Amino acid sequence: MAELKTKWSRRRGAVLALAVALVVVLAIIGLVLIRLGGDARVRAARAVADIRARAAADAGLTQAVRLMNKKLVDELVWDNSTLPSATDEPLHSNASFTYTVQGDQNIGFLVTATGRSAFASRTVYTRLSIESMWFGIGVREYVDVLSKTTFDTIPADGDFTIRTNSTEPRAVQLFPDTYVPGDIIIGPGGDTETVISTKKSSTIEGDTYAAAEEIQFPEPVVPPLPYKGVLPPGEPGDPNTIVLRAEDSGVYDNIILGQGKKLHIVNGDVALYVTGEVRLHQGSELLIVSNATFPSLNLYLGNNMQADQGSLIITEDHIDQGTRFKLFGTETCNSIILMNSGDLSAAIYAPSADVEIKNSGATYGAFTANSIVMKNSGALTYDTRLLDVDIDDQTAYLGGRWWED
Amino acid sequence: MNGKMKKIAGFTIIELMITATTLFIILLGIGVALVDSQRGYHRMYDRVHGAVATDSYAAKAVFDKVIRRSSRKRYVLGTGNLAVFYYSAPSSPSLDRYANFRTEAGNLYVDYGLVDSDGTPLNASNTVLVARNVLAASFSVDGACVKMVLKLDDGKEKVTVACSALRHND
Repeated sequence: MAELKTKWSRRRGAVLALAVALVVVLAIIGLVLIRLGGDARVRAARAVADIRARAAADAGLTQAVRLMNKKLVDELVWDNSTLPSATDEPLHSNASFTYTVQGDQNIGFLVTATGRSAFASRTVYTRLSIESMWFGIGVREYVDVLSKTTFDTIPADGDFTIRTNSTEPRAVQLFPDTYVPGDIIIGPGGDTETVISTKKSSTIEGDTYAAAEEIQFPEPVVPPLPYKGVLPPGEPGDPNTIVLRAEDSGVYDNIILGQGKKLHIVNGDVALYVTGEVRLHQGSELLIVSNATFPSLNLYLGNNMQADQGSLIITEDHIDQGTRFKLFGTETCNSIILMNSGDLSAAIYAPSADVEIKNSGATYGAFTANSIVMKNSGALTYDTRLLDVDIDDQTAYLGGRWWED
Repeated sequence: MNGKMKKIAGFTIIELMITATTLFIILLGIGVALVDSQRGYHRMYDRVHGAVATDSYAAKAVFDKVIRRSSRKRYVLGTGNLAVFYYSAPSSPSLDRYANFRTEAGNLYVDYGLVDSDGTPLNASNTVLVARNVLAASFSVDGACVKMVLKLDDGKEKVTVACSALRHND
């Protein structure tokens, strides 16, 4: 009886041990599976946090660059003591960014932006330098080269760019056999195949691509000038010739030069703001002479301008001394038509104006406008010296290289 | 003695068969569950730490790093390959480096090399193996955005990886 009892109890103990072992094995397998699932979740969470941090860093950098360019437009004189910055600026996606801007207009600006999300952190950088909006031809809308034009640069082999903010089909149209010695940049998201229309034998030496974002063409700001009203009378010995010097800078109601009338810029930097029409009729002349004072004319247009066929716009010695005739079209200037005889040397910055160039000779300078139609059949030589701009110039903007850790 | 024997032989053959059958079914269930658990563990391990998973993470990381620093100016898109161009340093005056993604014998490589002053890519100076087990790779470019679709297969797992990045430089 005692032996039988012992046997029974041994059998019961074995089953219990087996059951416990089974439970332990199943528990271990369960725990390993939970651990693996956890690993996958952690890795996925890390990937999401990393992407959020990266996007936040990009957002911070974009905001910093935008604020720097806004500051550039808003301030007539650059104030380096108020550079933008942000600390832990929250975003809606459980992420935040911090950015700082260091440097000045002489050495350039270093923008550092760090994005954070949970345990992830990403840092991106850009070095901003002062660039010119006179990079060749720049428009908000379209460029039509309607006649055979040879593009060139001073000096030869300089950078030349045609750039539009538009993504519309044929926003850049080039006449057959047109040679472009540089890049053509179109609006963000645009298709270069449809936006750029090239006829047979046209050659684009550089690259064609879509910009990351539109280039902002802010309206030019007229510097403070005294009101003058009407132009002074002609010279005593030559009543048809009006001579302007630096001290004649001011605000004028209009400039209308009739047949045989001449306007000569003879001394220093002359700045004119014309609130009314500027019209050069056939047989009239606008001359910027060459002398030791390097005379120049900054003409601010508050209204439209037209140079008729047979009129002359002459900048003496412009190839050696650079483009000294600069036309700024304000918001109320919608049309500039230049059909003058002979060569034209001018740098035009009129972001609200439709510009038509139909002079009978060669064209020198650079053009930035709402749209540009070129009907002259000569050469257009871009003066790369217009790339040298100061931070307080109307045509300066900040752009730069991007990199990350 | 007879009384004792009767008490010990208390199970009928039917009872024993029912018990044996029940135990067999329970053990079979446990065995199936154990085998299934092990198979699930291996499948999950492969998905999380397997060769295909590791390849896909590496490919995404390299693609992201290279494309983000590249220029919007230039790219060369071929069948199963993509070359992008970038500046070696923030102060570089021109695009002086290139990176070419290509597939060969089931591997994804990136060739790095110099660009001469005419903009012509020179022979690769460095080639990096990014991912193995590549069944197919396709690339597309839409404005500043570059997309890569990789199909990976190591015989155990098949994964399709799609990643995209923006080119940040002019």
